[in-house]
Amino acid sequence: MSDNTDDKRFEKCVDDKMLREVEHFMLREARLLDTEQLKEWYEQMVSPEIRYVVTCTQLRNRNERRYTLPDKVYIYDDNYQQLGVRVTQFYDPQHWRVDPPEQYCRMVTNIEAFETDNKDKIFVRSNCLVTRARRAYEVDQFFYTREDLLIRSEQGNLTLLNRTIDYPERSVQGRNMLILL
Amino acid sequence: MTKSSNEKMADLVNVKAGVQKHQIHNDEALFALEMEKVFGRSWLFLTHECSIPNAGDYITTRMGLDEVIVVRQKDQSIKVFLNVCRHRGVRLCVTDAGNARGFVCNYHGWSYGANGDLQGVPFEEAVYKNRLDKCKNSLHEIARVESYHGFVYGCLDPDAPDLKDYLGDFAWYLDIWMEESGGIELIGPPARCFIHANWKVPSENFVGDAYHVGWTHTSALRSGQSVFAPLAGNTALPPEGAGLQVTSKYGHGLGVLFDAYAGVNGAEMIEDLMAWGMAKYAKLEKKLGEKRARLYKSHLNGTIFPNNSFLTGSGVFKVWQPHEPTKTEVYTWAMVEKDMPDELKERIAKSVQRTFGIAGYWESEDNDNMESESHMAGGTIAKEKVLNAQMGLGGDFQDPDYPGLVGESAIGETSYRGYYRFYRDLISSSSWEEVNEKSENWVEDLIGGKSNV
Repeated sequence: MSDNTDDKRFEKCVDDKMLREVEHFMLREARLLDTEQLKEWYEQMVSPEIRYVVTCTQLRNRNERRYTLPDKVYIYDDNYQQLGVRVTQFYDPQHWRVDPPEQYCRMVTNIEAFETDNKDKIFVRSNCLVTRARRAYEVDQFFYTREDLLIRSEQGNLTLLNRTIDYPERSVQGRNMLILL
Repeated sequence: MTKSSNEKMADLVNVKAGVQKHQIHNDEALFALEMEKVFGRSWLFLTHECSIPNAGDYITTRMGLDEVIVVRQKDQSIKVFLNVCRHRGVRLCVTDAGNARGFVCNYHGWSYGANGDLQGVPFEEAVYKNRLDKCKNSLHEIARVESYHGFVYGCLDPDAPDLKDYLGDFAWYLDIWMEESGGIELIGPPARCFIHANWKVPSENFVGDAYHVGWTHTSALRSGQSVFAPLAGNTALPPEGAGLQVTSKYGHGLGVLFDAYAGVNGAEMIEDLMAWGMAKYAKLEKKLGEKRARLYKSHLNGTIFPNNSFLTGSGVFKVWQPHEPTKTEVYTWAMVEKDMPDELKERIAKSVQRTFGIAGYWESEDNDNMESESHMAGGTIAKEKVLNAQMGLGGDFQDPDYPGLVGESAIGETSYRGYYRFYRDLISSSSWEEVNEKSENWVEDLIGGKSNV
């Protein structure tokens, strides 16, 4: 996780050509997830070394010092195999939740990409909004900031190595988060 | 002759027939009554002692619609206060947890000690001219607080039975995993999210619904490959003798699937968990005997009435906090055995959220049923119809080996019936004394029921 928590991570923007490649990556990812191509996303865009983390932070005073128990709950902390369980579940013919299909719309904005100490790794920060419409009456919205580490694979394409989201709502309004963020 | 309001409430549940009116899951007036008669009288889970180990440690949580602060005192006792400033009634403590010598209101600056005393009032002499009696303005203290093997419960009703009596026969089962295991810790902070369901729907599901597992969770079973995977798609029932159902006087109930210690945890966890469970079982068997020790290495799903649910081997610990008739806030902790290595505790904590947390690939399947069961109860015609909890009706019995009332097989609705039997007595009574009078013959109430009543 050190790549994502380094204070210098915002220092050096990638060049325009690289930024275009990163933007293309982010938009393609949103399109694959919106259009139920989770298998393609998983096999082509996710590194087998992935760590996919979504946390939620307990409300504490800014100056709290004496209460030292952990303040994060890990809504997601999945490796490649564990993410694969979710992808497999999505395609199960008896996965009742997604039949009739849910409708998704992902918006990825504020994309910034930065160089890291490793020339094959790029740190990317973006803001996202996902809407999920389901059955006749359910519409859920998810707003969040992503911090991603992309790595260039041996085949030359970018893949997702780390995703870290500290979800902003203490008590999540959106029913459940069984949706890839 | 018109019926009294208590008699009308009693009609919501027909114990002998094993049915409840669908209305119970979506009704404004009933919800308001439940806040008074169920949440105002029952023992409610607040926190685990491990979350407030030191003097001044506190957490905030809910008791029905009231918000409370739970504070460890200097003498290690625990006090619980309404989280409401005595001056103009704003929320006093706006954080989830911390360590504090006291609490200061953000509105006018009234300050209270960790013991609830009003200690400071800005410009007290100048503005109140010594006419404010601070002793009469301490925080409102919750009547009853007790800890059971580290699990802290509070009760708003001074006339309620002691926590141990309230747990009754159920304590025998809780003691196995809460105490004989070497003790339990909850790993916090809890995940929190909202489901659009009545608080009783998840409570009744956890109290005793093994029936849905093989069907609702088909996709989770097939993709996660937990020890329950053979149930996927209802291709097989657990064989006769594979489990147990138990209910008790005050509505607490559970279901057991024998020897399934690893629970819903995914395939990658099974080997390590089963090795841990079997090793400890071998020790417990010598102390407790085979029958009781077996419950430790089994999977228990249960609800402590009214809204505190658990899955033992899966490590899931829940509170279903009511907000509105069809809006419930879900708190999810991971529970681990104290003597487990830290690395295993951490893996379980992540696995609990992965399966039964906000993004849980099991939980989200349940949510769907729970939300629609609640939504449909809003139908003008539907709400007048009854819900069927008749599986195993007429077959419940008392077993010399197992306290409480036991169902005849692993899958049934014994605990649903016991849960709603007590619910009926609570909402149709004006006091704990009346509740106890009505519940005196609870076993006879539950056995001998017939589905054609």
